[in-house]
Order: sequence, then C-alpha cells, then structure tokens
Amino acid sequence: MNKATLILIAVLFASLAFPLHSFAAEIPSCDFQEDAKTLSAIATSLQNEQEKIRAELAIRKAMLARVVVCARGEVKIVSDDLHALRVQNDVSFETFRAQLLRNLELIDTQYASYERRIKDLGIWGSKEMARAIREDRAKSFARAKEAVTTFILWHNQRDLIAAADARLAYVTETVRAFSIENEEAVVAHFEIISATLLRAKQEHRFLEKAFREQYAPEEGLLNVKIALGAMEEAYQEFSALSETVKTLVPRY
Amino acid sequence: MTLFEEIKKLRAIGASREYTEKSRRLILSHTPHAHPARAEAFAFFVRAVRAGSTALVSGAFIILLILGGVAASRFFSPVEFGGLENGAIKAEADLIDIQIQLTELGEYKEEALVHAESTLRTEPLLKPAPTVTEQKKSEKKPVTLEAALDILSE
Repeated sequence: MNKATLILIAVLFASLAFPLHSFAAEIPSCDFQEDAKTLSAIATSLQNEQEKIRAELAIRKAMLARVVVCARGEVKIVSDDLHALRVQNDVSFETFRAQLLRNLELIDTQYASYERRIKDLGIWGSKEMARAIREDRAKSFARAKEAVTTFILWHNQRDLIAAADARLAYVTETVRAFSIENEEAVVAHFEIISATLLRAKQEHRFLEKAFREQYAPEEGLLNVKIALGAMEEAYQEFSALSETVKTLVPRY
Repeated sequence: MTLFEEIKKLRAIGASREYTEKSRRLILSHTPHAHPARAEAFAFFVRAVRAGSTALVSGAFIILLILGGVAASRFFSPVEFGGLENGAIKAEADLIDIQIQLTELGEYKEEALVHAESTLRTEPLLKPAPTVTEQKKSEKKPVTLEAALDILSE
C-alpha cells in the first residue's frame, strides 16, 4: 500500500471521527410558520383592543423565547464541532481553538441574558429585543461561525495537501520508471499540478500564520476556498496525466 | 583309497561335542550392544539430509510455481500506473469536493439556519428522488429564525 493511499485512509478516518450529533432532537422546531400565522391573525380575529394587545404580546414572547432557544442551539452545534476537532499537537492552535470556544460562550451568555429578560417585555420592548438579536446574529454569531468553519476546514486541508504531495511524488516515480518524464505532454501536466499545489499551499500557509498569531482573517473562508479550488484543479490534472501516460506507455 | 572314499570321510568330520557346547553357551550369553553414539548420530544425519533434500526439492517446486504464476499474471494483467489509478485519484478528488461544499455551508446564510443542524455537515451526495409527501413539504416554505426576527421587529 503506497503512502498516498495510507494518507487517504487517514483522512477518511479523520472525517469519520467527526461527530454526527443530532441536535434537532434536543431543541424545538425552528420553523416559525405557525407563530407567524397566529401573529398576523390576531389583528383580524380579535375586536377588543386590550385583548389584541395581550394576545399579541403573548405570542411575541413565546416566539422570542423559541428564537433564543434555537439561536443557542446553533451556538452549541458550532461549539460541539469545534470541540470534536482533533487539533494537531500544537499549543498555538489549541490556544486559538480555546479562544474561538470562549467567543462562542460569550455569544451564548448574551442569548441567555435575552432569555431571562423576555418575561418582563412589553410589545415595544419585544420589538427592540428582536432587532438586537438580529444584529447580534449578523455580527457576532455569523463572524464566529465563519471563523470556526475556516479553522476546521483549514485543519482538514493539511491532510489533503499531504495526500496530494504524496501522490505527486509517487506519480513522478512512475513517470520516471517509464522514461517519459521529458515528454512534452507529461511536462505540461506536471507544471500545472505543481503550480496549483503551490497556490493551495500558499493559501494554507497564510491561514496557518494567522491562526498562530491567534486571529481569523476576515476573508479566511475565501482563502480556504481558493486553496481547495486549486487542489481540485490539481486532481483534474492528475486525471488527465493518467490518460496521457496510458497513451504513451506500451504494454509489457 | 579312492578320492571318492576320501570325500565320504570328510563328510563325517564335525566339531567335537565339547567345542559345540562351549560355542553355543558363548553365543547365547552374548547380548547385543547398543549402537555406538557416533553411529547413531551419523544415522540421524543421513535421515535429516534425506528429509531436508525432499523438503528442498518440494519448496523449490512450489516457488517455481508461484513465480510462474506471478509472471503469468503480470503478463496477462494491464500495466500498473503507480499513483495514476483513476479510482484513487477520484477518491481524493471527492474528498476535496466535500470540503468545498462545507465551505459553502459555513458561510452565514439564512437558509442554513432554518433547522438546527450542524452547519459543518455534508449533505448526502446522492440523494434519493423526493417522495410526494416530501415535495408537498418543500412547497410549504418554512419561516426561518431570521425571518421570525424580522416579523418580531416590526
């Protein structure tokens, strides 16, 4: 079994090690269709103003409570994914993970504080709180989630890059064994593979440096995407090289 | 005396009774000695050589059979392109595709927040065709958490 295959298996194992928890069973449904219908029906179904206000407030509070439960559920899922990541034995990456986890904890604390205040809200206050939660999610949670995704995917990328490197080395040996390393078509394939893998490594190293310095670049996920795109291109070229070699090498 | 008579006389010649008795006693009292150690070791060596040579010949025959089989299989099987097998390349490329899909799930999107499921999880690559009930369900558009917040803000 060659090294590339071994690495591939390792990557597969790493992927399988990722937890497949089902959080949906622990939290209520996060589809608010029924609540929305009830809320809009209040205006037409009730005549008495006082009753309308009471009913509207009740449904608003119930909705807000469920919104917060769902939002906290999402934070937990992202935290669990981050906890489950098998960070390589490196203090700086462990520290960075701890920082990301702390950040998620702060977001959760904020949601918990919203949850406690719901019971005292009036209609105006419930509207204010809904706006505040929306802003929080768009800023804090979205950013935290993207940082975690970037960190996890960057981490997974290490194994993929190692697998691609091992494959390149193996293929180089094969091509030499067939004495076709100087064939024009083969050289062209190798140039593309080397260039694309280099691009992937540059993006990867950029993120590695950032994580070592304990921050997630704002466009970090884009770096991950560029690196993966480059690797995808490299594998298309491996495939093309395979076809070229088959045409160049006669049967024994 | 003719020669014939002389021969007849010779026929009658025998050992004396005393000599015969003595010889018999001697023979009967003789117990056979065990083989000397050296002779036994030699016998063992001969047996070992015989067994060894048989094993050697059988082993050589089996090795020849195996080598012949390998050579034949190489002759009849397609050329091995180390590291360029389509299956292995595709398997690694698929892993990269999965990661690409995950980057999209990691972005902040409203749709991703409809159901509380992990944002870092892959969808099955080969989905079965939706059933009639599933189609009806998908037609019923859910109100997401973000949409709920929008409604509550108004």
